[in-house]
Amino acid sequence: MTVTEVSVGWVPMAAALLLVVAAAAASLDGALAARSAGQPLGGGLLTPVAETTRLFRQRRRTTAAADLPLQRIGGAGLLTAALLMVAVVPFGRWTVADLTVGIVWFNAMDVLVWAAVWLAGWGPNSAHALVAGYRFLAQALSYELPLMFALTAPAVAAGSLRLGDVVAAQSGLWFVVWMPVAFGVFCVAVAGFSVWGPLGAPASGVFTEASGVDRWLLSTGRYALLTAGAAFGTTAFLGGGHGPLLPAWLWLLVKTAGLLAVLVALRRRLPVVAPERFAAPAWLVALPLVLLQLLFVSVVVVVQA
Amino acid sequence: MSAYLSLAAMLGLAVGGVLLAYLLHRRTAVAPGAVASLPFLSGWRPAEHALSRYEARYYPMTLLFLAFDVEMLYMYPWATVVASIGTSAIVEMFVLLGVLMTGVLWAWREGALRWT
Amino acid sequence: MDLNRLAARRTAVLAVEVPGWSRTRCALEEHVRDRGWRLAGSPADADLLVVCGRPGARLTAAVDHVWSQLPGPRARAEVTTAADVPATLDRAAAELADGAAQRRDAADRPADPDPGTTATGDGDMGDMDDMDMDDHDMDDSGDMDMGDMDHGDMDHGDMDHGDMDHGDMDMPMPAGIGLAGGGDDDQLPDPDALDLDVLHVPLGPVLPHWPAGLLLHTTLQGELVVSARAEVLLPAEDAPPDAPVHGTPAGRWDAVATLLALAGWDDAATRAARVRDALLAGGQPPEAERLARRITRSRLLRWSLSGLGRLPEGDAHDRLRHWLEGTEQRRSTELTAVAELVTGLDLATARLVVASLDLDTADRVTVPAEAGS
Repeated sequence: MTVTEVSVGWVPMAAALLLVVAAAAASLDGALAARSAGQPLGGGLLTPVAETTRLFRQRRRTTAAADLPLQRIGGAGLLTAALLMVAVVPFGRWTVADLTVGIVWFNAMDVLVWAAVWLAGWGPNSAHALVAGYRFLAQALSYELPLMFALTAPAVAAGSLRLGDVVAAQSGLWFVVWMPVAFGVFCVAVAGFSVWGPLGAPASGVFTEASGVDRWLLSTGRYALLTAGAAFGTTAFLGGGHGPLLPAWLWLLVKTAGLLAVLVALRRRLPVVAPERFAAPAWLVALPLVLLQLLFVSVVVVVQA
Repeated sequence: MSAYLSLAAMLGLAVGGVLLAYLLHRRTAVAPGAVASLPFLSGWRPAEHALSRYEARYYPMTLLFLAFDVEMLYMYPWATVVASIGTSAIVEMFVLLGVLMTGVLWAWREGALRWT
Repeated sequence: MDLNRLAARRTAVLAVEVPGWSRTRCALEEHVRDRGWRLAGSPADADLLVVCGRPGARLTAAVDHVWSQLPGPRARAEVTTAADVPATLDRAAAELADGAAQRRDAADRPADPDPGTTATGDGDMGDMDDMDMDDHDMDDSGDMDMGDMDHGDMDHGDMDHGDMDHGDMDMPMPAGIGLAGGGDDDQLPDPDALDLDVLHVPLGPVLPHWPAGLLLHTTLQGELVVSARAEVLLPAEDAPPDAPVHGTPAGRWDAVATLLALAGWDDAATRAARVRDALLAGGQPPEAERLARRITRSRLLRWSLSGLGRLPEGDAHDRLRHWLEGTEQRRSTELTAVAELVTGLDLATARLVVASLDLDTADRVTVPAEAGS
């Protein structure tokens, strides 16, 4: 399967698609929340619409002596990073930005999230938000290296950093089959940069002072990051658009939705792990494991060559 | 080149979208301006500004991270040539990674991964 | 109007419990859940501020300040019996949906933030002389051995005026608030001799999943609590409290729900609250046993709670297990012990540890904790 780059005019479509899938994720989360509260699921499904309506009616707040420019940059940063991530992910046979270094680009965008979350915590001049912003950095330091090496594994296997080539290399066998550790680590890291689920400890603190559209941007950005992460994970590990019968774009959508649903469901089923507890296993277990995974992948590639 | 044009367009769209959201919010909120408030401190006035010389007690971990992060500069180009160069590429890279990993173990023993 | 109805589906309620009104707070949480609403995490997140019980003077001051921090549309209510909760929420919901009234409220709000009172304040609110005193008053430093009583005069004794960064008029005071400074005796030694600041962060009384009326004065260096002092804010004098929930099976499930909510396990926390509400209604919820097994079995939870808040009889996870099995020992944790337990922890862990103690602050309402202050 070859991936062709479509014209820049499709960029808004890609962005809209990301937001629609992110909204579906928020719906699922609302439905799951309704289920555990013993409420009808239907009401929960409306969560993203209801929450958007509520937040667009609610006023913004400015805290005393806040660092407003930085706070705004942080608030917009999550959504921006997610949009820029998803721009390099091939949608079946098409991609809006066919970068030769797509994987590096994704990596760069996920590091952008560090700045965004920290700025969103720093900006309001509020102790709870500030502490949470710094706590996020501690968490990021722990998940980032395993993530980087997990991203390298598909690149080694495909011999290319271009996502189109990574998808093409999976025509026979999906990468998840022979690099499950890298895939697992990647999924944990997606939860990490989306401040989600077990790695969502800093989220409530960073959100402390945000209301109205500021809060909407933060929580939309979080869902968008989760969605972009799922789309990228599908492309790098789950064969992208490969699959029988259905067209490639639909396969990508189906797989992304499936991975996203798992990530959303995990949030409600798992307690959070404090960044300081997460550090040791991330550095001492996940990092060596993913390095071994990379060694395994490299050896296989060399033997095959 | 056109890929970067698309990325620039996406960035523009993101920034434009955020601005649009702010504009829309001004029209839909019960009042366009922001409420002036002190930061939330459980109902009390803050004794001092939160923005301060903050002690990031995990900073040894940042140095550890930096060592590996610089290494990633080699990692990505390396990934594209493993197949063509062969065994020597694997050996050289994993010796370097082994050295770095030993550094992680040493830092862990020194307590760099604990800060509370 | 339809849009307002849609927005109302996600109404977020900031609940404030006054010591003695846990039954009312449980009823509030139940009705919030049954309407598909949710509990707010901070005033910025909240549409509705609901006070359960009749707060005393200092508690009222804190609640009033938090009210000024709700962005709006906003509504406020006080409820003192479980039976009144539905009607109160109906009224508040109608108030929230009233667009014209909300726009008027928004227009009437002052341009400057509500000044509020400092947590270490001596009770007389709004008095400028006292405010100045507070600014110099570094009383949360180091006096952890103090209980909940009579701190008012004592703190001046061990106060250190060497570092006058609070309230010193030569220092810049943006927005009338001083800049952060060093913590003197509290400050942990820094290996690199950096000149770092400490922050004074009061925890409670308005804080989700926090014991009613508890006020924990903490000094933070980075995210670590380097010193703490606890006190309990009282209800109004003529307040007839609810029948206690604490110490009953429902109270145990309340403690479970609170701890799990702070541990970020939303699903189990919600289900634990449902078990609690079923018990309060006089039922025998069949799912309780299964839920208890599920919670006890979670390895991730055990790992994230183990070693926290260690007391002679066990850590936070041990206490959670005892609540679930109904085998916990009745004990009353002294406020000084609370302060000692949280010292050296980070902010989030400190909140978890406090929740794991399941403090009964209503027990203390007979003690004149605010006397002399």
